Amino acid sequence: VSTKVLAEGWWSGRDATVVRRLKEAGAVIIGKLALDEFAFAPPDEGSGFPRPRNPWDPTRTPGGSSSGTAVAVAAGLVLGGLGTDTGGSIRLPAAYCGITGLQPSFGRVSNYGCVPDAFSLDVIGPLARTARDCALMLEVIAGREPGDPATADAPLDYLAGDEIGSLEGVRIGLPRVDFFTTPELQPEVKRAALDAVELMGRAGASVIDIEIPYLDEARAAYWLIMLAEGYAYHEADLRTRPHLYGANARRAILAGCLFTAADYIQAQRVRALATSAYLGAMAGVDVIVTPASLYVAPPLEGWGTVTRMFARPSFYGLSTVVGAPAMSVPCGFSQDGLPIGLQIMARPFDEAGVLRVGDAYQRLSNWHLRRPPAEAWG
Amino acid sequence: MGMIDPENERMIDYILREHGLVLEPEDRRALIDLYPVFREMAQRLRTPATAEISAPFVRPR
Repeated sequence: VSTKVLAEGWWSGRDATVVRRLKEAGAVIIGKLALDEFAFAPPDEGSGFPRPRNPWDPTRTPGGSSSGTAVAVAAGLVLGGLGTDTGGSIRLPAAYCGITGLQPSFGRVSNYGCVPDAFSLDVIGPLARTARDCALMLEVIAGREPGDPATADAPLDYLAGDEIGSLEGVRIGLPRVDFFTTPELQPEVKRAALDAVELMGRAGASVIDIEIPYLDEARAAYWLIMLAEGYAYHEADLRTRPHLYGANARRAILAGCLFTAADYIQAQRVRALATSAYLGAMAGVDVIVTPASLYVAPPLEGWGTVTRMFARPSFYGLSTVVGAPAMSVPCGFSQDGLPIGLQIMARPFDEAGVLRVGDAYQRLSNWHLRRPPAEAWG
Repeated sequence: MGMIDPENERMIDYILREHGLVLEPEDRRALIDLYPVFREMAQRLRTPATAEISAPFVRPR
């Protein structure tokens, strides 16, 4: 987890459930990849831990926190990999690196053996070239497991071998207000997302404008729960050996000590409210589609500092607080050649809906087939 | 970084003491700067819309 807090060479002595399941299914585990320190913030310069770079432009960030996985998939080093998502850490690197990344529903995949970020929000999921490859991996890693009491037995009714290929009859919810009107949204990103929706509309999907109430409150609840739970995990180490953390991660995690128990409970009440609002907004649609990020990958310089982290709006916190599945698929490129992602969300445990729409879109488009230019690496 | 609000500084020192945290000056300063941002965030959660919610959070299955 890119940290000096865990002693060099530290190993728990057993595989995480997701790794064990992949091995049992015949997957070849190539190795571990670089990521943000404890999935909170990029490692400090000079820390000795590598800072992943975007394969489309090495001066840009690949996003975080599951950055190394996205880079490895985009660069063609592996067919797929795992990441964790506690508010965008699979979807953002997927969007910035031009690949497909699925945040499953909370409880769909066992977290056993994974260092937590926030206990009630963390989800492990696949990053790969396509929705179909993500489905292949999800089939293997999903399912109830005694090591993680939060896991559920919900059936997965989409299999990677299914033939779909049609958006006929699919109802796409478009939350134009907020997701498409936030001032920070880069016009090229907005255009690419709307073009993708239009393409799906021409292929038979109906596009329905929807409103999702309490988005600001949901985002506040997301940050508060994430930081409070993260701090709870790190409290003892921050008290006894804070110097072992990088400054970026330490300051981000320390922010969790600023909340009270009443704040946390209130955040959980808002979470119930946001979940109800989300399910209400989905009443007449099958999926919700938004841009996956505000803008294309920004420069590495300044990325991941606490000031930047908490200042920008996020399109990811909603599905995280609700526990609903969400996926980023490539939907275009900016003028300067950087990938743009489209986010597809559905009801909790409807990964099938997300994967079907993602797969169908990828049969209509070819953004996911583009490869980073070799010359970007000199 | 701008001026330090003495009230925020007092609150941060109180919180750090309560948590048993001893921080470098730069970390302490970062928390002082973040404090009003997060208090505003916590305040945003005090919405009347949650008045009827008795169970804090029940996960949909």
